[in-house]
Amino acid sequence: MTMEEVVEGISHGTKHYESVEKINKILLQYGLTPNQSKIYIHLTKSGEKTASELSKNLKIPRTETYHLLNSLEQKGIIFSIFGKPSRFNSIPINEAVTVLINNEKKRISDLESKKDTILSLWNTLPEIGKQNDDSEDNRFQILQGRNPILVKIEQMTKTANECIHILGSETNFIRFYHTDFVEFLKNVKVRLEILTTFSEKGNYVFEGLELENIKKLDESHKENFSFIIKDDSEVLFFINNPESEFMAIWTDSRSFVMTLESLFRLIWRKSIFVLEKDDSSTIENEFEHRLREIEQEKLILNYLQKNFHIKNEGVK
Amino acid sequence: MSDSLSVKKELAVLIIDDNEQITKMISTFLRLNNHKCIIANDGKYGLDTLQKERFDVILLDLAMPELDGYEILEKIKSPDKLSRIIILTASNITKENQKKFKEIGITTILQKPVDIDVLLEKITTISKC
Repeated sequence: MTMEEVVEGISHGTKHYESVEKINKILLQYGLTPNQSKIYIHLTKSGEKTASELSKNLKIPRTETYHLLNSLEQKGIIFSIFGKPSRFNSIPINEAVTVLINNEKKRISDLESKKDTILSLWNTLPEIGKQNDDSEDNRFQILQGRNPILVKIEQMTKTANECIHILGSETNFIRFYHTDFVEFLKNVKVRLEILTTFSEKGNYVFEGLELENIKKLDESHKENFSFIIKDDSEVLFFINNPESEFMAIWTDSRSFVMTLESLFRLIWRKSIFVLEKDDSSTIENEFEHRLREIEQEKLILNYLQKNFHIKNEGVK
Repeated sequence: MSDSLSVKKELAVLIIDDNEQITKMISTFLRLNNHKCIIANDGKYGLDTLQKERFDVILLDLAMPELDGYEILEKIKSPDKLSRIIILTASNITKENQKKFKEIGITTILQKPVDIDVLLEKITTISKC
């Protein structure tokens, strides 16, 4: 079936032809099959048709055409006009897109509502010859693309019982801007510690988070690696490859987690809070520190002199 | 002499501080009051001594080269030892760290310069725990 057949009067190679092809591809993402999409586009652009006209124009077998029309009616984006034979027409594209989105939302909502049911049913099933699984705490999972990674971050932040540790450059976390990433972090109920390159230009990524939880990552760590640790038990390690899609590895491998946790603790200890004065005031801090020590020495010395004096008087 | 010094019991005090002047002076006035004092001018020696012997009070500085006070605290697992520590430092302590110290059982955090009467009072209080 060619695009000319899908939309009459639009020839191959024209600007409109490419647009129709793009619309067709997008409609597939809204849950339509290629043939459903073609029937919808054909009806929308050519007006009402009978099933046999559609079958003939689009070169789809008649039986399949009836099935497709039936399914599109169920989706709510075409309707039939009673008559002999019945004729079919489509609803406008803006309404159709809204209907398709709502259908997807409803589907997700149905899936969510069935989660408890499937879990309770699952728990009633007996284990069949299952042996102890040694790999229980040594699992690895490769996550590709922003959404699966976000889902994992949400899962980790929601189920944390002790702490969430995050290390990474702002550049990495900027990829999550305009997502719920910061919201997940805001809702963390346990101790949250973030080590990041906190530049004036990029710190908007962590906007809304308590700055008391954020320490400044030394510039030398910039771009090298980023990870999120949950409760010393799970880690999500980001893989930086500018030429490919955003990737991360999740694992609960104890040795892997402990290594990254030790690294985090080491860098955390040596770093300063973003609210504290930076390195440019180190000399000032050292001076202040030394001054306090001298003042302490003076106080002890005065005390000792005073008490010696009292003792000597007492002897007299 | 201050009343707070009139602690009848002889106390064993460990001072971990890289400032030799201060450790000498504190140990002098404690010894003058018949208390036993051990000085550690570096974190590692301080931690070793702390692990091997029992002290009534431990005065711990935070900013020290190599093994600092924070690292020492991380390595001490005994709640009894932690509860006998007085942090005596010239460094600024963030609210977050103050909270953490309290969580591990350290109740006395003093920033230098500290009035000697106050220091002695705190030593007395901790030693009675």
